[in-house]
Amino acid sequence: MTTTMSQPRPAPGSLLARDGQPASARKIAIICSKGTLDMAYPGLVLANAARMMGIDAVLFFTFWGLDIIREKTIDHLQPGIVGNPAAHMPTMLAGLPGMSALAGRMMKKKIAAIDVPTIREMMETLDEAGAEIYGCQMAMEMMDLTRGDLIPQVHDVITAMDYFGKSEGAQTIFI
Amino acid sequence: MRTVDVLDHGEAEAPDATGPDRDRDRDADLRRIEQKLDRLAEVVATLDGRRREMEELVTDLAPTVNGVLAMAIRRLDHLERTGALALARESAAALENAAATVDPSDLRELGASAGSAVRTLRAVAAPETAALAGLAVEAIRSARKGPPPRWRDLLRARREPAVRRGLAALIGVLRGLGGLLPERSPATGTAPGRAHDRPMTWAPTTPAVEAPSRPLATTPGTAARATGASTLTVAGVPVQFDSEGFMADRSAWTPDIAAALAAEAGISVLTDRHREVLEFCRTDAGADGPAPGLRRITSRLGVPAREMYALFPGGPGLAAARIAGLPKPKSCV
Repeated sequence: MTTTMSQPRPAPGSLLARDGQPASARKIAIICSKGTLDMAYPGLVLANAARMMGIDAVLFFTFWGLDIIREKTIDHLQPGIVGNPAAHMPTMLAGLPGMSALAGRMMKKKIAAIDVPTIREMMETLDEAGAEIYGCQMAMEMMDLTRGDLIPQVHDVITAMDYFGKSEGAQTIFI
Repeated sequence: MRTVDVLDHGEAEAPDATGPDRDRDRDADLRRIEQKLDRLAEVVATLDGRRREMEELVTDLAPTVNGVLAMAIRRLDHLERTGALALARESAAALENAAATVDPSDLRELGASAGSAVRTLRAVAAPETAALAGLAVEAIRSARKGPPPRWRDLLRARREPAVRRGLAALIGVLRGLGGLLPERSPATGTAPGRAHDRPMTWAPTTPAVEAPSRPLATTPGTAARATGASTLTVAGVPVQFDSEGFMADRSAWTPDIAAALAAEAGISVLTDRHREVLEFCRTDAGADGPAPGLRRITSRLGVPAREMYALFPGGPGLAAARIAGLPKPKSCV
């Protein structure tokens, strides 16, 4: 934020020019490491917003984040309400069987009501928008997953060192 | 009496009933009421008996609890004699020295918590509490020993009358404890304004060379952004833009302006498909509505996201609204 503000702002009337460079020179890399509904959306929405304004986006899914790109789990992500003070619910109550599913249903209803896409739709849109979507090889091996377990929008399964190659020059966000 | 009245009233509506019949009915009713009263008396007697039993139990247990308290006092006395408390007193003196350097408000807070602690202790030492504690001890002693309950058993146990009574008692205890604690009053007064509450002022930007300076229109909505707004000549006419490069007045939009803005965004020719999207955006936004986000365009107009990115290579989220002469979209998707 500080960097953006201290630099001269782009001249009004020019979308392409930003600090004298084309807009696509900006790049963002988002590491998604959590598999809950509430932690899945921020990364996907940010990556989508970046693409909508012409910023390159790289998404790297690791550990529990793999649930977001797994065919088996992508449609069944639940919000993390246990131990979450913002759930406004006693943890003992939130821990009862079925509470996550209930909260998830309510949240999904709300999300649909404001015309925000589902996680699967978000992934499809990101793919169409040209965002680069990668899975983490180590986490996949750890969880006994293969390429076939992932949704088709995933471009590749890469290592941590590959990730640094893909995200060169990008601002990184870890979620 | 009331019952009889009602019966009388009921018979008034049945003119066939004869005198002796009425008397017999009344007698039967009276007998029934007497029986009910007898039963009620029995219940009252049972309840009274239970209350007396409870009182006896409390009286029996009180000495035990008193004994426990007395033992605790003896323990403290013993500690005093062996010098353990002297150490504590020395520590307290050290703490007092430390307190001299502590903020007075901290001390006040400490005092307040100490006060509540003392009140709680006093409540615990009260005879009623002691009796209750004795009961609780007895209950724990007589509790059935078994494996730890599963959550299903817990839910089922919740329905048992005894468990419900116990829960009610616990809630009462908690309520009493809560009543002893000082209530936290909501903070009054407003916090001093933070830096970002103040209107932000941007450094003046260098005006574009071809921009003939013209007084800004006082259209509502543009006044707030007037600091970074500017007027540029687009397609031969002066066009006002807000600080983010979106047209200040959507009604001044013409297809020529759209073509010029498109060219600037890297779109050399506006195709029919482009025009379809732009028309949708302008219709959807109306005279003063918000510009549609990409998701709205793709879902309402039926244009796939992939095509939108091909149509507006610089990013369809902003470019579509900008070329359509609308303000920056407020949507995140």
